[in-house]
Amino acid sequence: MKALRTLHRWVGILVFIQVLLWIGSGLVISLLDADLARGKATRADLPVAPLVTEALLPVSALPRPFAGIESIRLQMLADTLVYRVAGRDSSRLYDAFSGEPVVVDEALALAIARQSYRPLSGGEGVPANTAYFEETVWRVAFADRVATNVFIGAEDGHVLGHRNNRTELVEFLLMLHFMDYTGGHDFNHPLIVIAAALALWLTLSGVLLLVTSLRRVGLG
Amino acid sequence: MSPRRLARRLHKWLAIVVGAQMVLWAISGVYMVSVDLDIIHGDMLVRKVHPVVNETLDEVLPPAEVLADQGMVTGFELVSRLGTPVYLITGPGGKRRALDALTGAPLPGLDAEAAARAAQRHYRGNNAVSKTTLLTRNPPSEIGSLALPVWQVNFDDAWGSSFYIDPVSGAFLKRRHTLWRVFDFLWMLHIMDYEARTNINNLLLRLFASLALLMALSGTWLLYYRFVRRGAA
Repeated sequence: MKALRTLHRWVGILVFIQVLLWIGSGLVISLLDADLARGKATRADLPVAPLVTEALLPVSALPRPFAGIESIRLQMLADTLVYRVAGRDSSRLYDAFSGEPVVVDEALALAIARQSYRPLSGGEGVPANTAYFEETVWRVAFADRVATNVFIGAEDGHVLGHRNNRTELVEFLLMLHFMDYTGGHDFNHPLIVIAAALALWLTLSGVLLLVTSLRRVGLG
Repeated sequence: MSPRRLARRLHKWLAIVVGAQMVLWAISGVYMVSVDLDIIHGDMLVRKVHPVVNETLDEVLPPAEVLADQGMVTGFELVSRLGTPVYLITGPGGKRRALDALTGAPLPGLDAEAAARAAQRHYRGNNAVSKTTLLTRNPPSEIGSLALPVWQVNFDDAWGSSFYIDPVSGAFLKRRHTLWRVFDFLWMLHIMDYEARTNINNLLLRLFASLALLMALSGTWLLYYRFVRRGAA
């Protein structure tokens, strides 16, 4: 039993910092509103509206931007009726009446972002600015209490996601929780497997010590 | 009570309350970090196929013609269903139906045999389909928020694979297998949400994590007495 206690202590020395980080980051993540951190709290469902069905361009007249076209969808994009022509990895937009390519410019990106945005309670989110984030991504910044950024694909008009300062905080905590210091959120690597195995040993030996102690000296 | 005695008591009393949960956190953690996430997602079960509609783009009926007698429509899409070009139409209330895009004829949902064929197109192995079930109510929790009805196609393999197929579009929606189910069960234990297995903001988890943090801190305190203070003495 003395050996078990010694081993419990030494494994404790080895992993106590990570165990504290696991419990601490887990606790804070649990305390933070997950819907807010994931950008779900500001995400509005796209409006469901009847589609105009007259004077539509036939499918055969649409441009064919990909060698393999997997689907062609008729949909509203902000106030415009478009065909979305989807290939394997990406899609392109065309005006449903003229077949002209639809360019997701700043105004359209802003309109899509607004449509996808639901103000947080007690606050009016106002788009503060719209800018290229990367070459193919628009970023629309909203002036709400968590500084929401809405990301819009500049080629396909997709709402890529809502992120805010809580998102970044939780990602930092997940970095500690997953021990992935590259920022990739990979939790399948040797370092964490070893640490987790040691932590398992720590908890199991702890329970054994607890049971022994309770049988020997009770609660004292 | 001396600080050291207090730390020892605290460590022990907290262990009584949260010790079992800490073992569960550790067991579930070891599993989740040890089994590669791609395996959990079932990537090894799936053959990447990309059904295209290219060949028939000049032959499909014009959407304006198809939609002329379909009433109010909120969604409209051309896809390939088991090699046939079909128009998927969403009506008010989200109800969906499929039309043959070449003839405009309404198509019934996939039958069991067609659902099995659709699943097999996406299945990498050579194992046979063992069971095909059309789920219409009380779906297993493993399909999440998928709309019903949906075909469940089980394969006779060591993974315990289930593929989920949309009866209207023939689309491959989800795959599940034993290692995923174990992961999901352990995830439930990890986040202590025994109902939906999704809510990480629940009170029980917050309470136990708080107590566990106190326990780990008191343990650290004990390590300090054992290794630092004694070493200095």
